[in-house]
Amino acid sequence: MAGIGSPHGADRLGWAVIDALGERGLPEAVALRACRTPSELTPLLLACSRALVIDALLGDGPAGAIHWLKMADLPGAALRLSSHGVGLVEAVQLAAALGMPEDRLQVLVLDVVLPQSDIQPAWIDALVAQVTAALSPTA
Amino acid sequence: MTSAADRDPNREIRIDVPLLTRVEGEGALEFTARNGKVESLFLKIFEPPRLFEKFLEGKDFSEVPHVAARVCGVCPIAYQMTSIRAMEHVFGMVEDPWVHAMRRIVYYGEWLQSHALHINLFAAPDFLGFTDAIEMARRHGDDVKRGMHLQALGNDLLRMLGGRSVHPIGLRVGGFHRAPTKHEVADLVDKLLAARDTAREFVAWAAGLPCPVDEQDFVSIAIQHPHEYAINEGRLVSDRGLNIAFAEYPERFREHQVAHSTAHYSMLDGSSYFLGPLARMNLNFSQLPEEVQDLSHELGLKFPSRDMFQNIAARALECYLAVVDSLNILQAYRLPSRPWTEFTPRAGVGHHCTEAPRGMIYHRFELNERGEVLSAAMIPPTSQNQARLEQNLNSAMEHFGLDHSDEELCELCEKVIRNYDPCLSCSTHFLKLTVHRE
Repeated sequence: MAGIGSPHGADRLGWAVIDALGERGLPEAVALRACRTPSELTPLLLACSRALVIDALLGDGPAGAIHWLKMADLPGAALRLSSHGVGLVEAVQLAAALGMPEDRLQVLVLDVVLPQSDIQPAWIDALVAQVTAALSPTA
Repeated sequence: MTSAADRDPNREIRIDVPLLTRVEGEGALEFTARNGKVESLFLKIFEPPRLFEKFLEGKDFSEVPHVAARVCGVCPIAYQMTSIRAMEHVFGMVEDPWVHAMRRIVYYGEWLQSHALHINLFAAPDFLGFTDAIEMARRHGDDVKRGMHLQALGNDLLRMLGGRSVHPIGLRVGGFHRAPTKHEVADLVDKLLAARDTAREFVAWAAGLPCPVDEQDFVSIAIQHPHEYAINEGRLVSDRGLNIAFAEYPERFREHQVAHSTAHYSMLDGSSYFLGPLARMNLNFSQLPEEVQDLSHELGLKFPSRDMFQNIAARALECYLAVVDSLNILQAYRLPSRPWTEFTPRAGVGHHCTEAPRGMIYHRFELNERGEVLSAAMIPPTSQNQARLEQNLNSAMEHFGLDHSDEELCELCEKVIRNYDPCLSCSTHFLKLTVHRE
């Protein structure tokens, strides 16, 4: 499980969820990673058997709306921009080009609407609940 | 299919690349030729000025490394290290040997991650005939994974001393906030040992890329040190007789503005010059560890070289250097009594240069008696390379010949530009405003 983020603003969300999950005690096989840039993600996606990536989404709202995405839901990408422009989609597409099976990946995003939004504790709780449910043997 | 008219060298050619891809930052290229002659050629950097030098005014010296790191997400160490050393000169400090060694390590981390990223994802698709790295990865997966492995190793080196790989926080005036434990160092030594062969394969692969030959007449400039392949310390030298202390930089180098770019042009005594891995190899090859020199000889690489595209091989050799020399340093690692040197702030002016991945970077800091910044100047390598890059584009185009299609000419220009690994964001530093009133 990888949370994408940085230390400030709503972008902190991915890290905050990883921190919260770390406190809950997860099955031993689950590794938690806080990634600062999406490009750190590609090697992780290639090395695991199942990947769940958690990130903040700048969408049309409402704030707090949660979406589960698969590879097919992500837009096409070409790694032609600078490394300043390597985002989650490019990192995932590169992993797919290097052999990651499409069904390995699930992306869990929460709409923060604005980058300067304050992270709500309820958002973290909701995402943790979604992840925990996805990890249950019956999921 | 292109017709003969499409390749007529006397045709009017107008090439406009509105957004250069696979470079750091944003810029454009505009090129016009008429009657068989290049009429105009501009590398346009249109990113807004960053104003970091102004942001730093009034800041305490201890804040400078954290602000300086924000100039560049790809080479923050270059900005942090150069500003720290310039301020250490103001405070009259002598660099501690442990700090010197660890500064080489953290800088090697930056070189390794930046160089591997550039060769692997930016430059290689040009020479292997792919539009981007994702397309290349489908056919050359093992090669791309190898480059990513080295990039990750560079980030590990950065994290060990910087705390994190993007905008590191571990560096301070006097040294580091924290010394790595012996256990952390031992883990990294294991990774470096495991990566030695990977790095050799990476150099062989990069040196074997089908690059064009682009012989140019240029002046190489780099830092030179009597005892090591220079990164952080030494004097500024060129292959045309320049040999000056860092403090003499403002007397010999001058910046000026042009209408088509927000980045300054920097000239040495009125002429362009070249910085970066090839310039460093041209001037300092004999100071590489024997193991790195041997690999270069085995692969048939020869330095000094006038072939601009040898910049790729030089960059790859520096990746191997980063692995080999990091091992040499870390296998002899000892915990220091304290990872920084004490000092007392005082007023003055300090100058320093270091070797960023893309070439030499110069900083000047003026501080008051409390150690607050009165003025700052940061001259990044890309703006220093800009005049040379435009000359390179002109002459590469002439050698290649205008009897090629617009698409082929455009491809060549993009290859030439990417070969410098330009960081266009960082090159847009403070602009001066001159108001003429009538």
